[in-house]
Amino acid sequence: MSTKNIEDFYDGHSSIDVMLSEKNLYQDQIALRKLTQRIIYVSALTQEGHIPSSLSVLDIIYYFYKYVYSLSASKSLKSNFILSKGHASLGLYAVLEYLNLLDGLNLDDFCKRGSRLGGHPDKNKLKEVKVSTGSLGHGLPIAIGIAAANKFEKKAIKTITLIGDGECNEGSIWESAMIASKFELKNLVCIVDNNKSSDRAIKITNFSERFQAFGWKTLQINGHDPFSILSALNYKHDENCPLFIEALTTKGYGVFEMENNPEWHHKSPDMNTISTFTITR
Amino acid sequence: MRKIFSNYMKQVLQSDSKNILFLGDIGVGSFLKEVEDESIHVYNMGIAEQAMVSVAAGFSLAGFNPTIHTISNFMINRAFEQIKIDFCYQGLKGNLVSVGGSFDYANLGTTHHCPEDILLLSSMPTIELFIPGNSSELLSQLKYAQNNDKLSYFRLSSFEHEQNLNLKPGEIINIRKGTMAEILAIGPMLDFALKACEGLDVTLNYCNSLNPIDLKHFTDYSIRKPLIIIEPYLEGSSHYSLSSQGVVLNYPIFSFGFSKNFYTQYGSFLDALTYFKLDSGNLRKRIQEAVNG
Repeated sequence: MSTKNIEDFYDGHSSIDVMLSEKNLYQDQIALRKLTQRIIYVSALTQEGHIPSSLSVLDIIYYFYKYVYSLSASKSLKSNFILSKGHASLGLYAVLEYLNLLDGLNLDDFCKRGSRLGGHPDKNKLKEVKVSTGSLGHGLPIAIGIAAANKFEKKAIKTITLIGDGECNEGSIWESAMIASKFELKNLVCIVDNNKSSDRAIKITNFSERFQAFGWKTLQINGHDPFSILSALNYKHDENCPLFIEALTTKGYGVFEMENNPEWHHKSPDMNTISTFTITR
Repeated sequence: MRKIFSNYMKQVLQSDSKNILFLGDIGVGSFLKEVEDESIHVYNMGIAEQAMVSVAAGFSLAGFNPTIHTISNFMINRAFEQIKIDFCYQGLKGNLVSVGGSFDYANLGTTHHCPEDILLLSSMPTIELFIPGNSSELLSQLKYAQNNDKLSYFRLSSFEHEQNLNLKPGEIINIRKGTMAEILAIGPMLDFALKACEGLDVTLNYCNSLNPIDLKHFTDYSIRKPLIIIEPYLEGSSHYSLSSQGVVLNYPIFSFGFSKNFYTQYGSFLDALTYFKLDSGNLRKRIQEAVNG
């Protein structure tokens, strides 16, 4: 199986055109800019959070919840989403808050004592969180179990999990890659947020070839382009195997000072400096 | 005990499609037909223990009742984080069925030893711990707990006692009465304890689970006499488990289990027992020393 770039199969899918009308595109860009500012603000307020990791997945999470999750709830094909790279929690919470899916909670309470919004998403605390993540390498295998259970019970539910490229240093990711093939899980999608975090540890290249070798169908997309994201999330393949999407992203995307700057991995800005950041969205 | 387990699992797998069994490349020979049968759920996951536990947790999240079966060192030590976070923290139900606890695999060397399984699992707040003394007790425990709403650990042993006792879940049963000390034998250690106590003026009680367990038994204690726990795993594990469940043991406690040393001999489980002074002869001496102060 060859890796497909999204442009190879995107044929002007009509529903995506409808979703991403000029008006929606403009509004979504405004929303994403606000969400970027929101993430920076909350991190500065609470002195917690992984900003760049949250920003590299913000587009994927936003477009999933706005156009796939919300629509699928009323249709025959539902979707589960598991943020395996749980430290991008600010990205998840910000989107859920914006779309009124955060149980009415205020993100300003992030990581405060008594808050339900912690540094990593917690299934025991939030209705929209299906799996407690934070320790890397857990979300994907749990997603496999959920997808396999749904397959056995013939439930039309797609399970989508978002992992990080750095997370792929965990052995359990590769165990999972084998197992997903074993179960022939056409209803499982694994997106890797390839923001090159692994470069500083055990560098991983050729993601798509690696997952192909494990029997997955693979796609490669621009992880910040709405058409690419939505086309990939709506992609239907014929093969009886799981789908792997390599999303090429920029760590810290949308904030000039943070893009690809490791200094900001787990650093929070001072509140009196947040207006000085250059938001490039 | 492995045969009882496999026979029981075949029945429950056939009777309820929500039951699913994951094998860590252990016991596969007992399920050859089932592994090929697409109508029931038995999967050999090889030695991908960490992912196996997480996948099982995913099934539990989706409403299934997963059972995981492999060698205790690889399930408990290697995949402990998955047990802790994916099952225990998320409050998911399932069953962990181990073989090779302590030194059942003495011949295979230290890499296959696991005396610390009970201590590790006792550190989790929500897990049931079953240490059956023989096949009949195992069957009773499986029927009780294999399909409840909890995570349950069943510690299969290569050695069984020969007593025919009919314990209720969590019961501490009295075997004989005495005045100088209480011996609490756990699981497969019963026959060793019985022989060690012959002619001694001690009470001998028996239990085969640490959770559930009759906690009231310990608060009903009115006489300050030593409690001697004879346990088939790391010494102190039972004491820790009881303490962590709120039992205040305010009388002298002796834990006769495997000491905290790597065991570098080969041979049988019985050889290991002797090495760690848990055979009947050594137990008798140690009991007498404990009683005589």
